Amino acid sequence: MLSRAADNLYWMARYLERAENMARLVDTTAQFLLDAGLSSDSRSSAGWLPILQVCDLDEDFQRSQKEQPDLGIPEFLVLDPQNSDSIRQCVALARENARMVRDQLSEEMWRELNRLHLFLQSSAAEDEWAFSPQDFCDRIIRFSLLFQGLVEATIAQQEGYSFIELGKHLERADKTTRILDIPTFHAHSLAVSPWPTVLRACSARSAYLSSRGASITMEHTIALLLFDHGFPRSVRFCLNEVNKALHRITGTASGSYENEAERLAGGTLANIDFNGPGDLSRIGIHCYADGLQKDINKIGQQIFETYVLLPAEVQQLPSPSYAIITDYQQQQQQQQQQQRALWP
Amino acid sequence: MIFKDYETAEFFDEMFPRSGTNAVREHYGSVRRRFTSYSEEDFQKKQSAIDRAFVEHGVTFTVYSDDQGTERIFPFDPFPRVIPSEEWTLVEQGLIQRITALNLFLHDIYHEARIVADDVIPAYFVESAAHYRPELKGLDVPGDVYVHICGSDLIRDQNGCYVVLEDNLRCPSGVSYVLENREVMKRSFPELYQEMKVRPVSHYPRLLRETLRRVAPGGASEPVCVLLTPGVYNSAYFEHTFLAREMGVEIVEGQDLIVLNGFVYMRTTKGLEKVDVIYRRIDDDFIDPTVFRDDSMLGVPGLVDACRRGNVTLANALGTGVADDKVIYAFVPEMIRYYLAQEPLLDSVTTYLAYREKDMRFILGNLPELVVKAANESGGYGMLMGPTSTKEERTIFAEKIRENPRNYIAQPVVKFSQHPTLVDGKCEGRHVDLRPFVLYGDEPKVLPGGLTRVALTQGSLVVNSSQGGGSKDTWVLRHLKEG
Repeated sequence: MLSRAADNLYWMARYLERAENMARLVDTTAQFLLDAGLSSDSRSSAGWLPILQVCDLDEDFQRSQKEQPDLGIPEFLVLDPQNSDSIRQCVALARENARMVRDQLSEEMWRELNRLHLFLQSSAAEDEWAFSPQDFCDRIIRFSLLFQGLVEATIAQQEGYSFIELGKHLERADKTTRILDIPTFHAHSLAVSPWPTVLRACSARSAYLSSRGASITMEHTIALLLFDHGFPRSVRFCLNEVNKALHRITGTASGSYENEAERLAGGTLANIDFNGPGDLSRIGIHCYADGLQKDINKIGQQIFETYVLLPAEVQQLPSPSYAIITDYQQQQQQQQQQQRALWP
Repeated sequence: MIFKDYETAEFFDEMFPRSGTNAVREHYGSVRRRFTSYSEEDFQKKQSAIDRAFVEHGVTFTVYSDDQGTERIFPFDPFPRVIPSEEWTLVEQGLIQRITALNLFLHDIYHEARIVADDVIPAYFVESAAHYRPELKGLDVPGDVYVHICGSDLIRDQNGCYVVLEDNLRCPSGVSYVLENREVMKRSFPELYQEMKVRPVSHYPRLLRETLRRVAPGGASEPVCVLLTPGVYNSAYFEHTFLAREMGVEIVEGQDLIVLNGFVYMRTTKGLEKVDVIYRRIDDDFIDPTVFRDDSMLGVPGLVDACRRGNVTLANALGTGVADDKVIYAFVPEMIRYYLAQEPLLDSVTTYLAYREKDMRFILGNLPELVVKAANESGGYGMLMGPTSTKEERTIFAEKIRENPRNYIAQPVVKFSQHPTLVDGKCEGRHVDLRPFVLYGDEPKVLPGGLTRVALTQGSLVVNSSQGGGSKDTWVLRHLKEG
């Protein structure tokens, strides 16, 4: 398939996964702050800071706050149009990517995504957020689950499907490592354990209770979310899916590799399997999560270079024009002008 | 009864020879019989089912009056326009004759320019045409075919004669509506459709694919064809995705293509794939920033060079827009005589060229009776409709004409035919034109039918969708004898 189309599908899936994870994080954090007896007032509470820190958004927040002094962290994470990681922007970007590959999506996928986007751009979204943040987050999570169901049920499982899976699982692995790192950032001031919240932020509470019993410990939580073979949001599970999707795309047998993305994904996975628990106990969760994030970034970069930037002969030429188009408005105007006179 | 009080006024009516009687032209017999059996309510139900089908299928175009971009449907009138087979044969032959001559003209002016040397068309008119591309002189195209897809606009005058209003040689749009309109009509009026023996149009994507295949460089047997779109913000984006899907070819943007050593490739996940034929829906100006507009963000650097080396075919070829110039249009009958030694089968509208002194005096003296058009605009832009214009508008136009006579032409107002059209559950006459589509691979083929556009506003002669026009399905019949 066209490289651009593959890239569009990959990013559509990444942005939607990012939006869903953000919704879970915001929802569970609000509840946690109540339980911990901390002020959940969005402007004053330091309780929201860890999210900014694990997502590397502190600087962006400060920039946004300079222009909008009343802006709270949750609003920044959910609705701020200046924050490209806010839920509203993630969905807008996912929709923009989807629009460019409408022929690859089912009607139902497009309709649902378009509907959510139109809602988020309307004032109704702000009203719902103000009235019930929980309902708002719930709507995003439900949409994401519905959309994943549509991907499974309404499109052919070919190359395009593999790129959607790739984007979704790479983003999910990354977000799980970040959520696990949250307690690092407010560890010393807490009256209650943060680990049940970590589990909830990954929809892992039921999975934990049924496999590890009612007492929630740091060790078991981390083991579940990093190394579990069967839980669909564990880092190991996600990277295994990434590896499988990459091999489906090239048709390479598992265990061998044909390109750098496959080599890195396989390597990271093997490293988790053989050295994961040992490394973790040696360097601690913060450094371990950090290392995983770097590996995940490298895999993402290699996917881009292998499938989008393209082979060696092209790389000697100036980079593809999409890397240098900065004036989108002008591009949009040019697109509109074409053949205007020949339109019926 | 939907035909009660139907007025033909002073126009040629496609269905009723005159007002006040029930007599219809022979080929509309079945339509009258079926349609009189429907109540107003039936029609409204059908109409709303049709509109819903268009929205659900996403047969929409985007209007950019604000930043948001609103998606609209092209208004559709369920009353079919019927063309008997003898009448169609004349249209078909006329169009083939015309596209053949225009194609010879394009080849000629980009090579020896015999028609200019022989004083049939003044060199100045060709060279000053906005879409003339001197850069392309001497460039050969496969089979010497320049115009692979053509969609001339035809009207019928007061006597019912078909007249060419303009030729659209730069990849005209609208064919997706022809196909979608037909699908909707078949579902809404299956019995009538079957009874009428209508010639199908659904094979158009296959014909187009075949046309593209035949003009591949070096006669490659399985050439890779792609559709090059400006992108999602173009009004015709729906049509682009529709045609690409129906033809089974990739829809690409400029950024997806790359020129290496004079060959064009598309970037795919499996590496670079060579492209042989590009059905492009981007204007010449924007197609290659190294040759034409260097600020183009839509084009492919090096594409013109690849064409010049004969490694890729563009459909339509570069430079065809020269013949869309309304001054050149005035010379098409001469071209037909010059290249084919035949008399034109289809009439053109009498055209006065402001550049000629005598014509200029006539135009300025008769503005209220004439239609003035800018030579290089179409789609209803840059026009003065004399009879409905204000004095002020005429003064402005007179000034423009005097300032730049080369750029203006004038024509008498053609009272083009009207067709029964559903307005609030009743039938009223509305003016229509016809955009048939001609494909030219190894020989010209005309799709039986085309887009009938209808001016939905009473009395209006402007059928463009941007200015209140709608469309109808066009039924070309297999046999004359109907009901």
